[in-house]
Amino acid sequence: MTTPHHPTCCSNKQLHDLLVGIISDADSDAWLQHLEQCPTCQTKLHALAGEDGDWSQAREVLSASNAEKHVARSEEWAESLSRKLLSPPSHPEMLGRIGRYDIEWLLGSGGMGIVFKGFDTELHRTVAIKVLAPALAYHGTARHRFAKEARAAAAVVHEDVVPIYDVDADREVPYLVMRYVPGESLQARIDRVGPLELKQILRIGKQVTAGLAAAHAQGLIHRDVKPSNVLLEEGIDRALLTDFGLAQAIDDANTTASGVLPGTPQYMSPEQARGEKLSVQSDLFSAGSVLYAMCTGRPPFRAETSLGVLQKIRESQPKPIRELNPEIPSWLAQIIETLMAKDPKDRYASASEVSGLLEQCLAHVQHPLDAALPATLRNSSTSKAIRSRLLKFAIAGALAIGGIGLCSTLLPSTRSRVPVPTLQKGDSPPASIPQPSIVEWKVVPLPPTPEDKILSVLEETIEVDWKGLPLEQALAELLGPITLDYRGYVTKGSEASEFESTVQLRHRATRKQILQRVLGARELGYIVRPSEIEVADLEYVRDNPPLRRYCLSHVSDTSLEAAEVVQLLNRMLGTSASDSVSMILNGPNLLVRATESEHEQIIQVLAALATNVQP
Amino acid sequence: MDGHPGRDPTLKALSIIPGSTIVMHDLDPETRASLLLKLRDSADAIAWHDFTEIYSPVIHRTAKRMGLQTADADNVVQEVLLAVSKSIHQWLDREERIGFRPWLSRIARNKALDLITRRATRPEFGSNVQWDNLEQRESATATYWDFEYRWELFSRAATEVRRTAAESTWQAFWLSTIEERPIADVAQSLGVREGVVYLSRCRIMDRIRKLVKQWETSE
Repeated sequence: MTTPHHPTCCSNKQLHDLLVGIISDADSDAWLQHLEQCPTCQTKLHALAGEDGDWSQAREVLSASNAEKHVARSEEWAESLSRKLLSPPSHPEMLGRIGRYDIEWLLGSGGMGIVFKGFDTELHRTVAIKVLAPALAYHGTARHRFAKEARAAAAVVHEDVVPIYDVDADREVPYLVMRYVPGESLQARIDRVGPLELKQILRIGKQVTAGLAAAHAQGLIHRDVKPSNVLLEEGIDRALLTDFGLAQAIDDANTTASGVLPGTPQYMSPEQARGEKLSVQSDLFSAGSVLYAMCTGRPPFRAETSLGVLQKIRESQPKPIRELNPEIPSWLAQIIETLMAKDPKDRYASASEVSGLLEQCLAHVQHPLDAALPATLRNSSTSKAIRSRLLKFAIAGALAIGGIGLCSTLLPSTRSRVPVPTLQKGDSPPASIPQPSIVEWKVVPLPPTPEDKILSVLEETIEVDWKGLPLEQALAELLGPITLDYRGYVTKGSEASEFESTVQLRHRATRKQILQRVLGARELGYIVRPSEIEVADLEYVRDNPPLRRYCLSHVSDTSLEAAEVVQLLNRMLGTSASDSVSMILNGPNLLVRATESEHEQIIQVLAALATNVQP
Repeated sequence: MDGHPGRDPTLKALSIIPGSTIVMHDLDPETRASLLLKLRDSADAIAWHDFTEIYSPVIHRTAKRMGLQTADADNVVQEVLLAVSKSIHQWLDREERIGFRPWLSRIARNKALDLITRRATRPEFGSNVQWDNLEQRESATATYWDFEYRWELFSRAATEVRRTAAESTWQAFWLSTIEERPIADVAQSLGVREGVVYLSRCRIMDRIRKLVKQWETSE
């Protein structure tokens, strides 16, 4: 191989030799220098190493987040849904196109839309594209709000906020284009690892609140701060907040469409749960809930139903963090308690204050000797013994100067911020709830319950001790008298079926029928492992509380009022009922699953409401 | 790509598909032993092992993409591998054998496409994707299959190259290509000149590509 000292331009052969390492190290410096300066050779070498498809496949396959998504995107609905939303793809490996973006694949979906990974064919960069869910896309107010909020959010420029590149609300399916952040959401992280490490909690908390501060400075309230809206960028320590203000768009659509509350309410603030006007402090409460989830691995308020969650957010205190995770220092628990004060006035004044506080805490944890804890937190981090000594000292001092009234001023100033755990002012008097107005109501019997209409396909694997019975006889016993629409069974294994003890059954039947049958088979002593049935389902069949439909005719048929009825009913039934009662409001129809006595109470409440408004 | 078959060369892939509803009697120890005995040529035994590792996830994902539920997809994986293992004697009995790997590839693809396409037509097997006709279904399955197959090969090749490449070479590739960081940044953070980054990433790409090609066509 003869190598010119200063290669002017290289032949493919020379580049090939360079690629596979035939050119000796002694000569390589000159080549490298040339390569740095010659775009033509860079391109040629690039093409020699792999075609465009190879390079793009490398990016797709190897990015760790994609590896996970690769599995996730095979979810059944993705394909058909994508076909509905997108124009046909320009390339067979793409899902489709929207505007000037090639859609590579589905990243996820949420209450308000579907997020795709895409490629901007003009600017040649990878992007995330959020498409407004079809149900919302046809809703005027939601569309309008989507566009408005997205444009407002696009104005927030901060390193902890996912930048919005483009908003197109004029198309049939409105969408917005954001930076693509490789990595996982905080929700996914918590699901994967449970409680996070202290440093991570502080860092993510600091970044989330810094992002919030930037938005608040623009007069924008996020409204939906929750772990799934916090993205953790892969490889570097950065948390980015996404989905600013978009929750409002769903509120508009959902409350008017069905009265059902949007999404998961687990991170809502009490004022949000009451449907009041929101201030930036609402976001702070939610940020507190997110910190809580990072500390404990679970959301602060949990209940069977969304309404149950809302009730808890309004009325009860979450389990103390340190009971769930003793490794969390008390000063952090205190910050979170302050953030999660029921009364917005008791929370911190601003997101930037919280961000600064968490930053100082992080510095302290990383370098305990060089950086002290913020002064406001120091008292709470001292042990109880020291605190009681301080208190004694304070009292002694107060006594010494003869004025007990001064005592409180000597106590740590942060005390006043810690919320009082029991009292909820302004929440209990029912007078504060606007009375819903109903002119008439009736109980509508539900002859065929919805469950009976649902055709469901289940597969079960049943391990059977044949006890010498012929297969058919055992199956007859097993399947019992219930007629199924479709029945089939497959024995597993090789030809020697007489030794088989496992039978796989495939059914098409109503869910209820199958559940009943599974219960029956278990009573006969068979081991039944249905692939899709959960224990809860079985219990549901066993003691299935009656489902009733109430038809509410409203003075004005806005479901806001209907939602108020639900709130009121929930309130009347009290906390004890929130686990077993489930209410679904669909237009004027209120579906309630509850015990007989609870149904009676509901009827009474409805009767009272109806007479209230008689002219 | 965790959660896919492990390293055990004894057909482990058959029994550890997550969420499998069948207890694996399908390939009892004797069958397993006799199969391995038949594959006296150790290269073939390794080929079989590689085969189960590569194909199990490919079959599974293709099945899922065609709308089969997880349990169904698991079953298809096992049925395909079982069918292939049962027909190994056909290959052994042949007068003029083609290579074991290409034979495995071909028979597995045929078997899997057949099974998946048939299952995907049957709504009681949980598919909720509608296809207009059989042809569409077949071509969709084949498209997914080829895509998944290539994905799997590529990801394995990358793992292999990473294992054998110098860490700095790999990093140059990773940072500039996967993380799409500017060449100058990558060079600076690795403490090498930019030319090295250009060259390193191309060398890695070249090796991955060649490995994939070798696996695709190996005789």
